[in-house]
Amino acid sequence: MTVPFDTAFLKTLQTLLPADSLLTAPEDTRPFESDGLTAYRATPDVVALPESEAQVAAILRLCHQYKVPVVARGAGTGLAAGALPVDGAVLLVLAKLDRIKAIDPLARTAVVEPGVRNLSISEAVAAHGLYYAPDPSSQIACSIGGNVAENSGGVHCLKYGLTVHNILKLRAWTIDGQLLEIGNESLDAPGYDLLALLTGSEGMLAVITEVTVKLMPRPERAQVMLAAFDDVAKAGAAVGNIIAAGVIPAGLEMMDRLALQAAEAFVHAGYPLDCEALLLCEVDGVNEEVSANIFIVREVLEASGAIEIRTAENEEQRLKFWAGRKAAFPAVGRLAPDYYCMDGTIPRGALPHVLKRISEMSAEYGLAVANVFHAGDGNLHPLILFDANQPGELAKAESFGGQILELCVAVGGTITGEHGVGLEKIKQMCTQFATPELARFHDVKAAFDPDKLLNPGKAVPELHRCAEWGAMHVHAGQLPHPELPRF
Amino acid sequence: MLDTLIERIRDAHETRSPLIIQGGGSKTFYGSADEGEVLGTRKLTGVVDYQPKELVLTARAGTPLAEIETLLGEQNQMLAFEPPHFSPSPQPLWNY
Repeated sequence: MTVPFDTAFLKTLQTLLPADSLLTAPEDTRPFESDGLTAYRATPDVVALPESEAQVAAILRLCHQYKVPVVARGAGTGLAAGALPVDGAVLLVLAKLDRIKAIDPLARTAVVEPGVRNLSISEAVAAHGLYYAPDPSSQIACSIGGNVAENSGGVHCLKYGLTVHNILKLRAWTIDGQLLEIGNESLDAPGYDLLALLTGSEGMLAVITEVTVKLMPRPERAQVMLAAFDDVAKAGAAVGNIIAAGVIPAGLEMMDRLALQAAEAFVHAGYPLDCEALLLCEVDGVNEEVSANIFIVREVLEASGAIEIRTAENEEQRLKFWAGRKAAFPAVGRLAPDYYCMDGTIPRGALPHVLKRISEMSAEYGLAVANVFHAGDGNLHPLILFDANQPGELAKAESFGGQILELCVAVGGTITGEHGVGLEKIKQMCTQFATPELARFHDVKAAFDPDKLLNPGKAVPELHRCAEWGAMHVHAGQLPHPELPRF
Repeated sequence: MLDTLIERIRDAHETRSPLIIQGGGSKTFYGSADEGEVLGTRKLTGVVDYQPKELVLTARAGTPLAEIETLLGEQNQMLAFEPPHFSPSPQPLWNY
């Protein structure tokens, strides 16, 4: 095989890591060809799996010296091709840095390495009655470093915030091998808020090697209610009505007919099937608060026209109600050979309009859409069903997805709620931001990584690219020169 | 009002003269005095948009905190942060 690297670079790289921590043979590197968005694939030239912070720093210094790009990767569960390998780059996999270094139950913090899985933090601190609040659907597998890189959310972020609201401090390394200690063990730190800047920076600014997370006390009680509606718009309106009534649910999720039927067929959650939309509303807190809020939510749901309302009678049923929602993606996966998961965010008030437009576009494109989403915070996850083996269907699905994101921007929303931009949504960044804003993004990038070595081609589009893609929109989704390399 | 502010910022940039961005000035007693001309935001006031169901309010930079807190109170809502008022007079929203 040919590896497009300087021989001296490769030789030195081999001295930095144990032999089994450096992969170059195609059969070893192929498993890293994509992240969770498998439609985008590129076999990496070299995969480095450091086991210590010192190794990470040494690899970065070497790459900086030889001007070799670096793509950082955690557990590879991302859904926007943020960890897609780049030609001629080192894929820096941080999964082996998986130690929980300290737990402070009194300060309610934990210090963890980036490869620690999201759920294993909660498991490790459960004995203290604590947990780590952000819970992306992939929490069983995804790692905290990736969560920080993408500012991940989850079902509970409506009440407890995104990753950025639940971390205190980072250790991160710049491409030239300088250590940055960002944030503080207290709640506020002077200076520019680099903690917020690095959170969601998608591997473009620095490589994270340690995260200090905030922990939450487990709520005394959690209770979930389920409400069925004969009209998607009514369910959408009920979401706003619950918030307006002064209740901030721990989770407020919605599934449309296609999604809920698929989920029911898959896990038999006991959902009502004769309805157009299903809302799941969880309230948590102390016992009295939960009782009071259930009462309010029930009244609001009735007034909003729910045709059936159920409250989970026990913990077993509560978990069952959630099981359907949590299995909704794989359940929808049984409906078609492939699906394309979108991730737009809109103001809650725009829900009925946007859902109607998506269903109209679904008819125009001839591709079915299942809607499963975090209704409470307006974070949509339309799943576009298609068959990649049918010529042109993937392109059609991507074009449809792009139009959904542009619709989100048009109603005052954003092109990503929690998955990040990666490579997938880079074109829509041109719709979301104007030139002066994109120019500032490039300035920030240059302040950290002037040689553009970290995750090149992702997250922030080059300005001239936006001009080219601007022309593309006129031509109904057809790239003007498909023969040209795109990144 | 916004046009006037933009013009003053452009002028200051051209003449390299420092500006002190100031709202209600309730915290000017704190720390050492700044040097430059005061660029006051007191006249840049008003709530642009408030949607209680979205839990989102948009206000111009010089809007007094008290005005916002009163408006939120009418909907049984509040700001999750509590900047000290330090004076009974109306406070601007973003004045550090």
